[in-house]
Amino acid sequence: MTRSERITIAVLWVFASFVFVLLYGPAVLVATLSFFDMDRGQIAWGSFSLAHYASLLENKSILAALGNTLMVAFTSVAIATILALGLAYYMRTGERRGRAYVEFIIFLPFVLPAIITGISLLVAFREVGVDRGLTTIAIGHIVVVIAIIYRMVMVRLEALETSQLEASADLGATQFQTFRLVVVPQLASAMVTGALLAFTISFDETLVTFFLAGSDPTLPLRLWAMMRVGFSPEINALVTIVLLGTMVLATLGALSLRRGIAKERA
Amino acid sequence: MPQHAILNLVGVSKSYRDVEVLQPTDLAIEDGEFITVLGPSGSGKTTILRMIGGFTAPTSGQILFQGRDIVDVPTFQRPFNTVFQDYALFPHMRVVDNVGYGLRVRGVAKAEIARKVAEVLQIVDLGDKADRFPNALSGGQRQRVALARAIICEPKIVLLDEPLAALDAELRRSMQDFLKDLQRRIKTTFIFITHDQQEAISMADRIVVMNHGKIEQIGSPREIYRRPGSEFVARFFGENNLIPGIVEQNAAGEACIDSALGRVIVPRDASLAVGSKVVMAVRPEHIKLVPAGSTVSQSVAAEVRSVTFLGATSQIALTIAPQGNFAIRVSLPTNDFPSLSVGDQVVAAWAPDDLTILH
Ligand SMILES: Nc1ncnc2c1ncn2[C@@H]1O[C@H](COP(=O)(O)OP(=O)(O)OP(=O)(O)O)[C@@H](O)[C@H]1O
Ligand SMILES: [Mg+2]
Repeated sequence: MTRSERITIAVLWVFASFVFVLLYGPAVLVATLSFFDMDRGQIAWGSFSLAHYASLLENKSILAALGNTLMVAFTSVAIATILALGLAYYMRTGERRGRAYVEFIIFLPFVLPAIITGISLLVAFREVGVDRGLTTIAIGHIVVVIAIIYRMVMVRLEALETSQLEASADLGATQFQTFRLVVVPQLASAMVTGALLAFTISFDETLVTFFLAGSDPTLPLRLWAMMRVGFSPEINALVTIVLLGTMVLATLGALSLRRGIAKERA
Repeated sequence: MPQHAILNLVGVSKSYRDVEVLQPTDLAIEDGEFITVLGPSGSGKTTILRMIGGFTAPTSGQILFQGRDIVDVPTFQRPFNTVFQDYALFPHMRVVDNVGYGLRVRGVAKAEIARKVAEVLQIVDLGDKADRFPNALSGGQRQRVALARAIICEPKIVLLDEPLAALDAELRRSMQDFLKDLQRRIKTTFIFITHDQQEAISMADRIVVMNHGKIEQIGSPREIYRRPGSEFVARFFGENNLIPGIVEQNAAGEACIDSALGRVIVPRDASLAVGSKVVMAVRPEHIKLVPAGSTVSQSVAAEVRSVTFLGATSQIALTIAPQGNFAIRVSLPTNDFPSLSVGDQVVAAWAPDDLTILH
């Protein structure tokens, strides 16, 4: 290795470490703070305890917000997955007129500024006379995430040869049997990946949610509101838990994606 | 319409928008026969097969299965099974599950499925591959899985769309023998699509020759080879010399055709109107060379223009002497004329029976 190469590598290392610290430093800091107390701007190292976690469990309003977020995420992802699957399968199994338009409409909220989507939905709900609440939030999230699941499922469906569907019918399967035995098993990994992505989007969706929320806030809205009065230390505990949850989900997503890709390659 | 026909196409046609890709077609398929549909790309072979299988609806006409119109019967209720060109195996199922699929969707008991799958895998010689996934099989093995899957439900007709097209020459030949043998064993009607005439000849009981969305000729391989029914069939099916001519009548009142081969006397045929233009077809192997100066009734003097050694036979190009520029091809056993060379004067002769007259 020449001298200049060694210097280059050293510089790259420093640079990489810097990026790494910038990205994960705050997260590590928050995780650390969730176990310790602060004393005049310093971490009091002697104060290790799970006290913040305990007080988080006491904080009813944050727990309620977390509960709302999870409920909205689960329902909206579940409904969006079913809708996307049905729609994609319908579009795939024949020459469907207007497919391009339908897809355009589905993808629109995904690229539209969230503020527009939020306001339009707000206006629409008001016109129809629907009160704002968790239901409207969930509907808003379905609108936002359906595109990503549809896309994931469609990519996989397009790769599924028509002849497989025909072979299934040829062997005596009804449409539904074909769907259940041939289509769904081959879409499973695409559906899981899409659903996980959609879940993370729904989890921290703030802008659209802001316009659609009633008196029950979701977690991002609750945190937002707390910013004005300052965070209490149990927020560190909360962030740490969410961080862990996200990492688990991301790992699952990556694994399922990789399994899907490996299967396709084989 | 023969009584024992299992399937009858009556005036079946197919159009996409305004383009008629299959003209109204009649075709009777007999029970237990091995029928091949042969034709160039785009001639409508797959279209016919897909309409029989129920994947495409005909624009007009009836498809009668044992005398009953099945045009409105959906694919999954038709007693036919298909071997697709790309095999269409289910990649997420093991070989056993692929093969057993047809029984499973019909609600057959698990034990019965296992028994039949084992039996059928035995037939296609894949007993040891039962637990593999399709992507861990060779092309020939996948092909046999597709075949096993198609015959396990004991269909009345097996439809095969160029199933051997993706295999190399040697495997192809052994699969041809295997398929033919299997068909005899299970005594089931096979409709087999190919665009390889050699394949059609070696496998079929009857061949349906198609061109431009139309059936050109139906017959046994021998019939089609000996008596091509149209200029297209004569060209497409093996090699042929095609010689245009005009129908005349000689002094003795016999019909003859004035052509590059001279005046060729042909068997009397009511459809030969004097003055009409026809084409005569004669196969390269049906032309004999006789020594110059010999007098044979059906012959013409010619000059050797080229000799191509092909192994057991040689291909010889001749130019007809009086015309000078009309060429015919002759195929001869190499050993019969060891010393033939370019420029030799010869006499080409044929038997009247080997001439086919095309209108
Ligand atoms: N869905 C369709 N829409 C429009 N035209 C079609 C469609 N399917 C087939 N055709 C046309 O019908 C004609 C016959 O097609 P077909 O697939 O039957 O040919 P083929 O004899 O099987 O040819 P090959 O040997 O290439 O498979 C072709 O000209 C094709 O372009
Ligand atoms: Mg075809």
